[in-house]
Amino acid sequence: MSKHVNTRNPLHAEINAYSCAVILSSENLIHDADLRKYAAKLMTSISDECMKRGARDVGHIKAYIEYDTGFLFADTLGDPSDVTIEGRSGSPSYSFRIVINSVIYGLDEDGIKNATEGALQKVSESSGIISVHETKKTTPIQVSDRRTK
Amino acid sequence: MKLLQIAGYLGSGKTTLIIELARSLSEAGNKVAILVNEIGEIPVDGRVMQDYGLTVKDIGGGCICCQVVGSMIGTLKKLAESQKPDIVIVEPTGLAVPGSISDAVKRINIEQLLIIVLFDTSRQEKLLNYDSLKRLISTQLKDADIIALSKVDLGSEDIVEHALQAVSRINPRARIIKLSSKRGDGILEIVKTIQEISVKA
Repeated sequence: MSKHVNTRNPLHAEINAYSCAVILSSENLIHDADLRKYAAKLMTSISDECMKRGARDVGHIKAYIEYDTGFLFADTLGDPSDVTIEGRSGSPSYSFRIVINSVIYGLDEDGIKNATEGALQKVSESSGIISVHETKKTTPIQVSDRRTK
Repeated sequence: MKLLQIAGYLGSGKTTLIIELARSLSEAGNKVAILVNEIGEIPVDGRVMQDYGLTVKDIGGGCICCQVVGSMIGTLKKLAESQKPDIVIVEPTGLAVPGSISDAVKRINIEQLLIIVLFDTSRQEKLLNYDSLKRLISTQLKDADIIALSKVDLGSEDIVEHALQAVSRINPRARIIKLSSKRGDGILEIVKTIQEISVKA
């Protein structure tokens, strides 16, 4: 069952989060430039999906991608023009690991989860990413509640 | 070991500022460690900082101002014993209330240098007008010694001035510094302030 960030602090009202980590792979070698395009599309797509589902604003959506010897950090605050991609290029690789954290204002956790996973699926398929292996999926606030009880 | 808190709402530029500050403070001869608390069990910001060659400890599982205060205290104590840094930079979540963190740290007698709260000038309309968000942002700003108006390069002078007036009304005692990571504005001023206070302390 979904829980809100504000279960413990009233100042966190209406702000919820979802995070996941997955390994993605392709039959073709994936180059740094491909990953940058992929990350940018993914940030915009998650943001759009959250807004479509009724979010009032994007708090912060960010992703960390690691592959071979390279890494990328991507983030957005919701405006397609403000997607930032930084990192260090590595050798092309057939697979990569991505961690996504979506923190959204005015959308419940299930909505953020569906938006994040839906966007990941859609952008991966359109980018020729053929398999998705989930390594870790968390609902951060449930974890923290369990620890603090 | 002295503690420097870099707080502010989600996406206000905390991680970028910390990377720049940590580099500058290290170059000035300080041993710097960073404590990052993030919403989301799987850390992103800490990984980014590590990739920039910085010493980082992650605290997950909730917000250090209200949910995992004990983890923060424990990690700070361990850091003090094992790495003996001169300065620990704490990056709380974008939802954290800096004053609550400060209160917790006081209990273990760690000296606190400053609370810097970033305010994203490019999103001021939302931050200052959305009902529940406004309460959080005001609470964060009220706890600041320095308010860093971030991303000033993205807006006109009028927009920046409007933000300056708004944050001044919320916290009249805070020093306000205009910050642009893109242009490098404000970083030196913040570093100089930290060094002055650090020497006096």
